[in-house]
Amino acid sequence: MKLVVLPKSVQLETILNTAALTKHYGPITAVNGIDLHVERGSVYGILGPNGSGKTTTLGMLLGAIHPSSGSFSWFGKGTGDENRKRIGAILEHPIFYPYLSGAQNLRITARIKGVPEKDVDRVLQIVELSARKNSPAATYSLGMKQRMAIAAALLGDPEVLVLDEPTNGLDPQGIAEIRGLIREVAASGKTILIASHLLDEVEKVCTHVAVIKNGNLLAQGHVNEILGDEQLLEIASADPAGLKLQLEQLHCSVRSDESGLFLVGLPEGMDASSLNKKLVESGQAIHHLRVRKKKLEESFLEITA
Amino acid sequence: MKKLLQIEWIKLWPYKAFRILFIVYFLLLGLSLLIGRSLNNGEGEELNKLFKILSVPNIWNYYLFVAVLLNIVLGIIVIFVISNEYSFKTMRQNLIDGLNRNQLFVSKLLLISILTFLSTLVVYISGLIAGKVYNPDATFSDLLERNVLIGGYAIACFGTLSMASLFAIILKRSGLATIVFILFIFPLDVILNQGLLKGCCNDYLPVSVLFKGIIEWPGNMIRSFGEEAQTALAWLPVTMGLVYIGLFNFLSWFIIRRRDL
Repeated sequence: MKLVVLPKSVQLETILNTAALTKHYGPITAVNGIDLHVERGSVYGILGPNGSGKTTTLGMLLGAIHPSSGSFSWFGKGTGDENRKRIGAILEHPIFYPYLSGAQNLRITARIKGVPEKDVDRVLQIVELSARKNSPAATYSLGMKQRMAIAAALLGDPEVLVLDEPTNGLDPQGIAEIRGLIREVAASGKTILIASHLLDEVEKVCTHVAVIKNGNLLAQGHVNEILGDEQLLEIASADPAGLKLQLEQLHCSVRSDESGLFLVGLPEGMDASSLNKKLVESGQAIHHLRVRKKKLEESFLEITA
Repeated sequence: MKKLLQIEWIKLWPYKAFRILFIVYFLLLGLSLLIGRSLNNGEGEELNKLFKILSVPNIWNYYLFVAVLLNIVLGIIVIFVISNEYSFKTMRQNLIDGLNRNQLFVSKLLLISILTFLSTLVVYISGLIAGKVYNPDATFSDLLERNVLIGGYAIACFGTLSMASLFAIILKRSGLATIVFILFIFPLDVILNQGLLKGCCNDYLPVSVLFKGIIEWPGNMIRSFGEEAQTALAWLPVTMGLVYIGLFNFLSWFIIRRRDL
């Protein structure tokens, strides 16, 4: 999948750019020359199996891991430490001083971010943990820890949230709660970067996705483009050039052309029989028509194969 | 700086092991003076008269010797607090939340500076009080004799805590770092000194400098019935102490800067 070059006006709204970001651990290449482009307001999923380099990538973007080579830039301002005060982030799993209460932990984060302490109560309300704010963090359930971590990430109302496997280890109810929370935050216009190994999660929450495997970026773009759960048609006729012209006039997107065998995506409101009818009416004699339903898993396996 | 201090305070005070070890440290300091007090009664009184351990200004030589040994307890506190930051991964979270690596280092430096300041203050004040209690006839100027040694104690304390901090940063695990710290102070330094280096570098190795170089052991004082005691700081151990403080802290800073979290 080739990268889309964004026009200048859109580039101004780029929140994060990475260029050939790479991390070696001895002979192992954990992240191999990854280029990411995250635009303001998007919910950007980094999708990949366990051990594919998601956390290492986020670790580099958050200053915890030194890249071996390549670069990244937040808000068009490079790698400066100050950038992180505009980002709320969870890396790997929720991290707290276990002997301190949730509220005390949040006060530490607030001090670091230079956020007034009264913001602690606001974020506790968002994640509905006000009632347990004075219990030691060690006594929290995993779901509560995840919510508390999101609360910490929300302190100071950052422009960007970075969440690493935010629903890992949660029960279905916990998963639903966290996803609901993410959607609410996304609706407020924040840019969210989520690493996940769950296809379904990315599809449900994200607007954009980057697929990585073994440290390599395989694809990135709009979720529907990359993981589209759409109907595709294989079509062929004796007159490929005429057919292609006709398809374009009918607003069909031609995905590939293998010596006259076109793989075609349909516009809304059109199905295989109506397309066939229109083509015949316009004088195109179709000798091959096959419906191919592209499933999510199929797309993913296709990309990561 | 103020922000880092506040953050350290929020973290430290509720930490039970920190409070317990701190209380243990003060109890041991107090105990060392109470043991001294038993020397003021009965047979002990005769012994004290003979060796003049608790007389002013000899009391400083005895008390600072004990305080230097108790720096090991302060060192263990430092190891626990810093290695916790690694095992809880909170150091990484603090970085992600917006501290930079220099600030991470400075917050550890603040921790050992504050502990050094507090312990020096407590040792000094309690030493003055004990000196006056055991020697009611002593004048204020008698009590101020040999006070320069307090400065030496502060250097030894800061050096020991810098060493503890470095071990915690290198090893990341509290148990391991504590064991290595204690082994380094007792057998390892002796083996290194006497075995490998054949005693040639006694004056230069960190443990010798920090534990008996800057503040000398009061053995001479006792053997000479209180007549010969350290009255001033020697330039070589003090210089070496400062060199080690610089070296340990530089290495800590370097590791925090360079290592992935």
